[in-house]
Amino acid sequence: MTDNEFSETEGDEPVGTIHLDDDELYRALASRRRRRLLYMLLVEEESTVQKLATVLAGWGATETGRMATPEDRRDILTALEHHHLPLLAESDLITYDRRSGVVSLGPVDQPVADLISRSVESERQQHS
Amino acid sequence: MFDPLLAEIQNQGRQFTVYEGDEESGIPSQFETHAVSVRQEELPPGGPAPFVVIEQDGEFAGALPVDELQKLIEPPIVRPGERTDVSEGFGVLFEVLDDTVFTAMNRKQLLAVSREIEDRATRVRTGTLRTSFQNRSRLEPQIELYRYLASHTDLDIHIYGIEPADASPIPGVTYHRGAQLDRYWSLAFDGGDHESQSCALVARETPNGYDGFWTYDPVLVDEILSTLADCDDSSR
Repeated sequence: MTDNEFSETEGDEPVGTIHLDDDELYRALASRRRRRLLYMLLVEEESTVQKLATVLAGWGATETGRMATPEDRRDILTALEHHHLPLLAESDLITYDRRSGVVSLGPVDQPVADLISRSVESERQQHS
Repeated sequence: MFDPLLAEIQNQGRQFTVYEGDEESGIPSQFETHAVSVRQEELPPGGPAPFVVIEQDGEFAGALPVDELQKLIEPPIVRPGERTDVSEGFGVLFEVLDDTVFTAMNRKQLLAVSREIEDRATRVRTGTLRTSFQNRSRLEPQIELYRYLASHTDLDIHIYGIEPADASPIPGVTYHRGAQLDRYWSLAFDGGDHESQSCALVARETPNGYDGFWTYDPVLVDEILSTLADCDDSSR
């Protein structure tokens, strides 16, 4: 990022705000589970890994039409803790406090927020 | 006497969380009278279809789409197999649905449930039946039935809330004063040789009528039978 680009956005947004041209963003969005997780955080801003796992399990159940089991949820929780959340934290899209389990959305600009919403919403339209 | 049990029945550590958008499923009101606490969480418009998360004692037991749940709770209740081999979520759900209903009840409903319990005892003809009456006038209309049960079945019959000295003796019926029971309307039958027939009712008089529950859960029925048996303050 050049000095020039930086100064353009410096005024009204926090340092480190994610934009559409951040390469990391696309890696982060390359997973349905991570897109859903980011979408939930867009709405709630802050959540916990436990709650995210519960909602993702319920979300999955709405697609299979079957009861999600405690094992299903446990698998999701493990994947979140060991894979998805560290990856998203690495790309600064979220902050994740391992000890408390609190997950918060990092600073994203509006086009990024729209992209996340659209990626999840279009998925639902395809299914319905 | 039954207050701790009534409090426990009211939710039994069960919690349903309904995740839904603007369109309300009506699930919370459908479970209003059941032994579960229900709360709602909002889903964003582009999110998933509504679903219900089932928890027992704070632990996730399962999650089910609302439309699937609706199919399950519309009578006749359909069970995906026997309880032992279904997942935890269904176990909790069916407990909520059929074991125990905690609700406000009027005299008419209480009478109907009482007749059902007495009727089961009449058909099974063995086992123990414990019934508490709030006063003698409540016993009067039923006395012939109890006389019949005592003479024509092998039931062990105990009647509570009646001073033994004041009662007309019936061979085979044991009266108990059960002074602690005067606010309660309760019957319990252990099912005799047919445990599946066990059933019980516990209701507590309130300023507006009664609230309470009835159950076909043998463990709970047993607990109610013991509570009644403990009121054995002045038998015979």
